[in-house]
Amino acid sequence: MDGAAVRGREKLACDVAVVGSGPAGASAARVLARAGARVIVFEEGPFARFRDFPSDGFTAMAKFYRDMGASVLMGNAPMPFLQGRAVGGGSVINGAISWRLPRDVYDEWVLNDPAIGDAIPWDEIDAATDEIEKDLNVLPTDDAVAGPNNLLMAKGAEALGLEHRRISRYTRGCRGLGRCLQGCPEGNRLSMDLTYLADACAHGARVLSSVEVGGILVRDGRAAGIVGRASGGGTVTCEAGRAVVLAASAVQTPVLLMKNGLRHGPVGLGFQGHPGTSMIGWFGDPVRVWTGATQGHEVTGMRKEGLKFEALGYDIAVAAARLKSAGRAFAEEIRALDHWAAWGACVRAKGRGRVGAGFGRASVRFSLLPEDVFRLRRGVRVLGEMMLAAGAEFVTPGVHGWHDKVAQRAVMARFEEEGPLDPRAYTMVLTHMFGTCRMGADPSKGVVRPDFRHHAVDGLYVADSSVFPTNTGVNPQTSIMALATICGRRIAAGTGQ
Amino acid sequence: MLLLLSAIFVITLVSVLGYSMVGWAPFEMRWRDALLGAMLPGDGDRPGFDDIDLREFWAIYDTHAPPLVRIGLRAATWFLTFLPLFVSGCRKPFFRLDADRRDRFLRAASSSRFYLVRQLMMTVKTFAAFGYFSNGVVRGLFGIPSGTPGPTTWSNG
Ligand SMILES: Cc1cc2nc3c(=O)[nH]c(=O)nc-3n(C[C@H](O)[C@H](O)[C@H](O)COP(=O)(O)OP(=O)(O)OC[C@H]3O[C@@H](n4cnc5c(N)ncnc54)[C@H](O)[C@@H]3O)c2cc1C
Ligand code: SF4
Repeated sequence: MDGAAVRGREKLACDVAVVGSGPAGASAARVLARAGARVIVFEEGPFARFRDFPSDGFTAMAKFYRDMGASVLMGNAPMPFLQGRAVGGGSVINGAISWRLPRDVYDEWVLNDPAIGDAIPWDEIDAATDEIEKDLNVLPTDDAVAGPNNLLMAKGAEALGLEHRRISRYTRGCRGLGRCLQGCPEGNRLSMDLTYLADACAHGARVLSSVEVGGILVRDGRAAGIVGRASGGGTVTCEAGRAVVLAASAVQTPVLLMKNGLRHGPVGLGFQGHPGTSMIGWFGDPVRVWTGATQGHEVTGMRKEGLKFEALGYDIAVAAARLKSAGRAFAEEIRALDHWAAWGACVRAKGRGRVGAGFGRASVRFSLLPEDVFRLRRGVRVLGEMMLAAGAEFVTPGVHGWHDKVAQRAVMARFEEEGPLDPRAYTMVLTHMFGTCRMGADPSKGVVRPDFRHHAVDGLYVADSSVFPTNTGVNPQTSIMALATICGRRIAAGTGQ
Repeated sequence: MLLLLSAIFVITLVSVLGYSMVGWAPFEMRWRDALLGAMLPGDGDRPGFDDIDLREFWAIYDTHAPPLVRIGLRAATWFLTFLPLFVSGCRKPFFRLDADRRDRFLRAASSSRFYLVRQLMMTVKTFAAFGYFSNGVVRGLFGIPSGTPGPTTWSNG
């Protein structure tokens, strides 16, 4: 059903109303539908048919990214944070990278709150992840479709002796079209709309696109349904007999709670993310970052230091915008755009921020700590050295106040000492978000219990990465799906009801 | 200088916020296009931003751009149009500068020591790149078909 067609008042009823159709909402909805519950998933964004995905980045961002990709978080280094807004959420426009939740991250969570270990045993996460990997055909990127940008990273990492590997991605029949971030035009990336949501619908669930949920109905201390605004101008009210599941993302879920006066516990606080910065380098042979598997190679050897490196494929317009120059020099550099490679460093930042709900909209504040900036400097250094070792004639760190172009590894190595400490000197983007409705046994420290139930409102659950006690240092989609699957199981089993 | 920049920015923001949600006035479009055109000029061989058909690009912008994006581009347009008035060697609004001076101003502004100026320059550059490469003819010049491209076979081992 499409909210664009809803002009009047629509009244619905179900057992479980799920808000948000991204990896979290889709995973929870699927388990519940398979368990026989009548499920309705509400999604603010439109339904996108994969053949309609545009080839250019601008149109894709306009149609399938929240705020056209221009949501900005404020703090000591204002930066955009990107989120998908479509049926399937971020899975429709993301890099398809799959990472299991690292055991050491889980152990940190349990050390801080042993109740999490009791409520969500590691073996259950592990087994749920096995199933997800099987369902989504998660496999290392095939060299035949990798393309130069990925293969060069392997070469650079090898030269520096860094542990690296082909990225495992959820694709089937990927032809390396390099358009994952605009939406795969052939449906080769196994996003939620094509997989878990389709499966949930096959088991009786319904998905309502273009309906923005604004109200959570609470009666006698129990979540009883939702109220939404359809893009067609109408309103949708849905009574939910058993549960309301919030899976609107780590930014929108706390906003929804706050808008409804549900300010219990540290709601909105504890925001964490993985700020990412990029390095570009010029190679003698064409690289064409807009072709090949969008993100097909990664360096994993420094993960425990809070750094992860990935090859970055993106639309040619984004590749151009990353160049340092302006005016005629910019036009000149664009002529040779196919010779630039682009790789990114993703930082497991220790800084914590907050999500607010001023004027009913999300506002995010987040600042890097000094130790995060040190980590960032190390990341930029390693990226530059690795690219030069892979054969780049020169690299462009894109850091204000430092060299525009670097051709020698020895100079790049100095960045770790010399690089600016002002985070605003770096160009960063954030795509992974966590921690704004943390789980915890103590209601003063957690918004939901370790079994995903809200501390103050019965029948209300949070299934997305808001509940993660910390960031994970790795790409989160698969961990989000594993935890949301477990959340769905707990609701199906009637735990705590 | 910082005070001056802040003052221009505040004036810009107030004017821009006032009517950010309505369409561009013709004079504003000229200011905006002067900036975007100088950011990515053509050279006889390759088309520049000014040389391509951008009707679809602006139509998508008009339909989808959220307030934040509209405010950002508007603020960048106003601010960077009048900033040259205070820069020695320019002393005119941007759209009154000749091609060489425009180019010199943009180059200097993109590595300005003021964070705000760099961010507004980044906004203009991003729009110039997005607009330019939204055009099918330009994409074709870089070997990118508008429809579904063929498979990648390149391998450097
Ligand atoms: C460009 C990009 C690349 C990425 N690459 C990767 C990658 O390769 N691998 C990886 O693991 N992760 C990646 N990520 C991150 C990953 O996509 C997200 O972590 C993941 O999608 C989060 O899942 P979610 O279900 O919690 O939220 P989302 O995917 O954000 O889904 C939430 C959904 O809820 C909807 N919604 C929000 N509010 C409401 C409301 N009030 N009413 C109704 N609906 C609402 C939203 O429109 C959205 O569709 C990437 C993200 C981006 C933006
Ligand atoms: S790389 Fe291309 S073919 Fe492969 S999943 Fe992404 S868009 Fe589809």
